[in-house]
Amino acid sequence: MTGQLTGPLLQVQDLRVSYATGAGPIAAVRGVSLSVAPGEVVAIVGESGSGKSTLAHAVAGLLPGTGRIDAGRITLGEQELTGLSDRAWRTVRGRLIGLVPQDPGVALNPVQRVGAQVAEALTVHGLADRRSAPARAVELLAEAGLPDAAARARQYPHELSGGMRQRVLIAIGIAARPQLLVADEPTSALDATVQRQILDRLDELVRASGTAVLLITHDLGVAADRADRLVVMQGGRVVEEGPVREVLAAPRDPYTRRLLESAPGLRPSVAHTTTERGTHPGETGDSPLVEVRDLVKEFPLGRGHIRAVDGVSFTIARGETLALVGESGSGKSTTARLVLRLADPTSGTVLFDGTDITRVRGRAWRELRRRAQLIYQNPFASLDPRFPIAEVIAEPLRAFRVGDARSRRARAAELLDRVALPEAVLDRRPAELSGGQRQRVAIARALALSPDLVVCDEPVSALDSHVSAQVLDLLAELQADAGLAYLFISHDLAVVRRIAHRVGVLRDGKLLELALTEQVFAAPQHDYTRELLAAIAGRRLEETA
Amino acid sequence: MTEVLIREPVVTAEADEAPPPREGRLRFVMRRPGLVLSLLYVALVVVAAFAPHVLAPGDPAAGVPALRLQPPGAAGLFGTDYLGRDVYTRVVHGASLSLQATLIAVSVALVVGGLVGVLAGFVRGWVDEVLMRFVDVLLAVPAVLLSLALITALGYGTVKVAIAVGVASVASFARVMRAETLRVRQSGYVEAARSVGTRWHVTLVRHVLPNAAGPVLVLAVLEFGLAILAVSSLSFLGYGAPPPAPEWGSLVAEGRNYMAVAWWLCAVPGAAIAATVLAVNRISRALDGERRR
Amino acid sequence: MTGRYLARRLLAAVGVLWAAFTVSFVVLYLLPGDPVATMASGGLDGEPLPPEQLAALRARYGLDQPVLVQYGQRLLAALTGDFGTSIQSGQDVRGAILEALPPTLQISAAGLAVAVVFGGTVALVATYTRVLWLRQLLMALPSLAVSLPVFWVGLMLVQVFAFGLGLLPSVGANGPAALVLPAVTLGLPTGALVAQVLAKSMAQALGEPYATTARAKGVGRVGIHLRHALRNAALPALTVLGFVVGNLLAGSVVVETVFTRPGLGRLTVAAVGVQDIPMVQGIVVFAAAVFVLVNLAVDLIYPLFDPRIGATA
Repeated sequence: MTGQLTGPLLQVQDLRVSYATGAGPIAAVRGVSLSVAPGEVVAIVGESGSGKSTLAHAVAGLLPGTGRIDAGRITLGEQELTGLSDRAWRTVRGRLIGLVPQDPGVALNPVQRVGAQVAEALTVHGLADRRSAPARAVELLAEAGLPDAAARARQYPHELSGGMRQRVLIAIGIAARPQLLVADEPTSALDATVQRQILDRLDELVRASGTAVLLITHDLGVAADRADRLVVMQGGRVVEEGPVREVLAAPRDPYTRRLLESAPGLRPSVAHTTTERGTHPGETGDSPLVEVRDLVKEFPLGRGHIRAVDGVSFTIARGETLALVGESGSGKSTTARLVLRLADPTSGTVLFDGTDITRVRGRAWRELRRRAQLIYQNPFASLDPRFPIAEVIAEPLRAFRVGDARSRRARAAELLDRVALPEAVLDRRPAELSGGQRQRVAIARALALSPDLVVCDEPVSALDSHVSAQVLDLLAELQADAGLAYLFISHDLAVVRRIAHRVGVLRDGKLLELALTEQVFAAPQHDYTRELLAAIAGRRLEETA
Repeated sequence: MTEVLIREPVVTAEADEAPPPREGRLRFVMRRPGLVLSLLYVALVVVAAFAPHVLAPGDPAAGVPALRLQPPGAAGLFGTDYLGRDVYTRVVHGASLSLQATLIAVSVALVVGGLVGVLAGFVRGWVDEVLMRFVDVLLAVPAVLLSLALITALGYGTVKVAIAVGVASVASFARVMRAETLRVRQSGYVEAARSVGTRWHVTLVRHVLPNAAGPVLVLAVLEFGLAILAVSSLSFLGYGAPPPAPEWGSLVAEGRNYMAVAWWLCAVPGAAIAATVLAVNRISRALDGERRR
Repeated sequence: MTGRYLARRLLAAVGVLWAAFTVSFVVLYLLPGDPVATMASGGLDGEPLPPEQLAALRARYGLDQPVLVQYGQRLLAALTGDFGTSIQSGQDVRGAILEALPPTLQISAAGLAVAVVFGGTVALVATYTRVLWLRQLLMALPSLAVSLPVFWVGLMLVQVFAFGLGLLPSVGANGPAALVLPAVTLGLPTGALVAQVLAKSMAQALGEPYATTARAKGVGRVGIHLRHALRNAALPALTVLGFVVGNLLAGSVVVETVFTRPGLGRLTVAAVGVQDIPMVQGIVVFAAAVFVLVNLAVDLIYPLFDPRIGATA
């Protein structure tokens, strides 16, 4: 389908893109050159702010109104794309360059049937007429792997699951058989197992049709598994590019090396190394810090109930990290909130340091707050935007009337030091800090009352991978220093491997297996665990490591 | 440890992580000429309301019959009315009653609506249900009709008109305050405060109220404009202060009888109302925009 | 959409009406010190009546009975559409309202047409045009229009088009020409409301990822605006229809006064002027009923436009 091109299909030369803001233009892409050969899959990897999405949008002619190409050229085959009129772009978009956007939840028109949305991609280019388009759309949906495509085509987006919607978007992207497909984080909003199926299908489709792909992703694992060539971007520039195996085996740029190091999934866990120093915390014979027995939580749903947590039992030893892993809806966050006594269980018991806290209220409930703390997934929302950091960290001290204002400030400074932030941060406000810094502040706040247990609810899922690696290291370090126990909630087995002593796998509210981390990774007992493990992106990373 | 800090500077340069650049308050204002004009005009209206003699030393009730219905120009900036009274002086002095009524109306709406909203949003449960059904009813009757019903019961006069207008806008304040309280209540930092053991009343005062107040205060400024319109409408219909006390709405009503011969009698006080509302709305927009930055 | 959904909506509508009746009863019958004295005096400025006449009047209007009994009787009567008789004219309240309704419906319908055409045009052109000054001008229009006092706009229109240019009649209700100025006066602020809501939701819809998906397919600007954005943006505009109609009803109070037209607005002004309590209550409950019915209608047709609602209802 790619014609008789001999040279590269897509060529970007010294591209510079900036966004107009109230405070003047901000450069997002600062002189990027790259090329994609016909049928080649090129992955652009970078963290948020690296300019990778801007680059993708510039290539597809989809820059928002504030975005501007300041310099450079983009050519597709023989055609120059920079400076095309809006009318001319319309014959390129969809027809020559297809797009698979990120976040399938919002990328489809909610009031139009999905079949019609696929059909539109054909009719606007005159590839089908009103009569033939619906049938072609069903074929395309089936090609994209949507089961029962004829029936699904008549449904609206909200009636489909996230994975199905992503398949609809793929069908739209490939509808007009474009020469180049720009896939912008096509699966990062999906659960790992679904992500793998969809990427597999996309792989098959483009390999069969010889379509070239520009894959934009923050996930080095996904890029490594799927691409022929890697382009690593940082701060609007390309810092390294080359064939996947070469880059992985011998990264030249320090930034690439750092990305590789912090990529989850291949390094032995921090917890593992600490374990080697002594015995496993759970084997010391002391009574456990937390003991959960047969915990059940039901939520009313329609006329019946849904069991979010269904008979879960486990223990957490002092100084141990227990991770609960599961995909969305598995009940892992609800379990965490029950352990912290922030929600009422339907049945079952929770013992904290030998005391039954399942139903505690009032004074006893408040006492529990001193000993068990929570770190949230989203560091942007968990800090009151109006307070300086000193106040945020000292809030637990204030709540329990510990010390006076001066000593609380001193304690806040000390805590900041422990999470490796400078004292100057004390007087800043949350909005002035980066995501990683905010999460450190949240950790400092959790440590203020020297708790025994800290529940971490997806503490790094909102962070870039190298920042997330640093935060995980910090958590491990604090554990070694203070003998904290962690209940670590995550959807990401790879992250869990870095930090947990033991791992529990949750699905539909049930604990499927619970074992030492290395055991789970080396010899998973349950099929679902094996499925989860297989879905971890970055196999090639591991091979080359 | 220092290595960590180098990787994450306090203010990062990357587009997604960097906080928006902050603009000085004065510079923010000076770069918007419309806003400057609005602020100046509102300042002028406030002076007119509290010290009218500074702007118009004459007596608003004293007329010179020989100089009746003179067009703007020699006989005064905005001409004279049917009794030979200076229109400019009457409009300046009219600001006082009109603005007082507006202030009362907004205060009533803000205080009552705010309390209802906080109560509903923070306590939830049946309290929320009952209060919000009540608010629904207030919303079901157009504000003007609600005000008119209250005037029927309370009687005429500037203060009564003001209360009637204020009560009629309680509903919108209650809704916004409740929505904001709910939003803040469910935010991560309020749950975080709860989970570190902060008591509920401390949480309410320290976290919920200050964070919920912003949009409500912006609404109050916006409501100021609406209240001026509502108060002057009721005054135009004749429910405000009895003549000869000047009120912007009633000035327009008086001028109506002389429209064919003296256009300025209607045009000038009406324009004063319109300009005030426009200025207040411009300021409210700036506050709203600034808050979102 | 199920029968249960419909039943729930109807029940809620009845609840709002009952509450509107109760609130207006509390305000009108309990708030004044002595409703009979105020009513009988013909406004607050009138002379007080001798006590025995007041007592007779009180008995005639049933005001000598305990409050709860009065409330029950009036509520029962209201259920049959009976809001008592006007104190001013002695006319049946329901009859008076129905009689005043047609001219008000006329200008409301004309005003609604002006509002939709004006508001819709402003919103669509403002979001479509790429000429910056035109877009800014159009976006500024609605906020200008809602800042002007309605009575003043009406008078200024009369000044220019009736007295100045002599094109249209200044007052009265004779013929379609007399309808033009009132309709414009009424439609302008309402249209501004429509424009604001629609422009905002259009801009939002155009910024949604699905609009980008459509662009990526190669759909042109007209197609994106009409096929994708407008269909989504019309939904929020539909939900304010109840307020729009309420707005028109309220606007008629001022507009009918300014243009000296007969109608519900004038009836209201007259009733408030003489503190005709049964009449005012009848009008308030009637306005609430209109609001409730319009919203009920919107609720019922909404699922036709938004498939997401039909599924959950």
